[in-house]
Amino acid sequence: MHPFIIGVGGGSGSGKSTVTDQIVRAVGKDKVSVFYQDNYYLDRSHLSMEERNKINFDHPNAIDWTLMKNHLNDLYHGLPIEMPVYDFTTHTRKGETVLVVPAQIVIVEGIFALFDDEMCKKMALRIFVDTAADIRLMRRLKRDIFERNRSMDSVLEQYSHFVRPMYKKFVEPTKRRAHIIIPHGSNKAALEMIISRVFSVLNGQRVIVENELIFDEPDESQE
Amino acid sequence: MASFIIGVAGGSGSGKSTVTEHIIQAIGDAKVAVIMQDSYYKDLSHLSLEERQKVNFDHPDAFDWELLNKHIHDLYHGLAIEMPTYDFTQYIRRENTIIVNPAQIVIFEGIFSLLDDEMCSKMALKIFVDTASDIRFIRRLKRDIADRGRSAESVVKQYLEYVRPMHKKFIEPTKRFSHIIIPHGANKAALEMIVARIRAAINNEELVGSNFVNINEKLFFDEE
Repeated sequence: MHPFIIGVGGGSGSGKSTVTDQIVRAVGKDKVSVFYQDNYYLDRSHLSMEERNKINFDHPNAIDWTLMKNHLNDLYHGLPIEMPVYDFTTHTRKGETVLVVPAQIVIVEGIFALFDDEMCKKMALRIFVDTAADIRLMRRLKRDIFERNRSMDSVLEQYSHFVRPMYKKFVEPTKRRAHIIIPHGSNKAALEMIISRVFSVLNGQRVIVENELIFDEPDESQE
Repeated sequence: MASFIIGVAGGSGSGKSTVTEHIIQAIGDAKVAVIMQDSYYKDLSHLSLEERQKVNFDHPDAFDWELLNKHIHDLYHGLAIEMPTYDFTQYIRRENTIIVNPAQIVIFEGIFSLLDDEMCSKMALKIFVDTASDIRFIRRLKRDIADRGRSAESVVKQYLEYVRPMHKKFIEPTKRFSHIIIPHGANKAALEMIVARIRAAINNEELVGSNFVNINEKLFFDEE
């Protein structure tokens, strides 16, 4: 049987990893494999450092879709994968990989988690974490300044040039593919709902609602 | 123990009742009490029929909030209520009431179910069913023509004069009070999540430990 794949999409700083972490913590590490889109940036070792710094990392083209789709497909069919590890300082793929063994539950987390049709189709539950733009920016600012030692100006510049327009163009539209939207980042009631659903899957209840009249998939043509 | 109250909000034609019906079907009606906000329109018998027809029924003021609050409060504390019934042709409250017995799960369904702070504070789960406005309009058009014998023209007129502006002003803003938003009306994956959560509540399961810190709690109500 295929694993129960959960996609967690949303902008940078929206609270995606809080959702993932809380699911893992509640369910236990042995029952969940996490698949991070951040590890699938393209390797840029063939470019000069100057060229690498000009790359738009908030564009879907920065991702190695072929490898990411292959890996998700493998996990979907119960095969282990060697997840690459990315070095964000040099924009290259590190030598080492991380072995991911498919568990009953697989979480796909990343800004483009709900971007690709083929990947979406494999997901039993698609979640979009929808946090206000100002709050997302504040979190990113804090994270980049304190954890990555960046200057405020450079963070704001990157935000206005790349993060914001790419969010509007490529991330926000994936909201319509979600089964549920969590407003304002993760909240306890929403997490409890997701976790209950995950527990029900682990207890063998793959299908709860049996009714042909209900849509299986959100209608993407609506907006 | 207080009941697990679920608010199901969203515009007219969004699919609120589909959500409610599927919950009842999955959980069994013995365990669920349903309060329909539609039953709580104010009694307008003191007005002439002409005056009644001028009332804006898509405005929160058209509802008897005092009675609604009391009934939610009673169900929350395990007391039965007598839910009023409404005559939509005369805009008056009917004589007969419906006894709603308390249950472990209480669903409050209506366009304004997430509007009142006090009620929201009693809800364990706040759901907003968010369906595109054109789809909502199509559903309403079909329903009003088929069920209420209305003309397309009168439905359009009412939609533009009342339904649409009131939705923007009073319903849409309550989306921010929800715990989850279901886009495009009810979908299977979302319903399965809701039902799983309710079953866990019935079985009294602890899901997220008390060590969970809701980092967004403070931001919850003052965000855009």
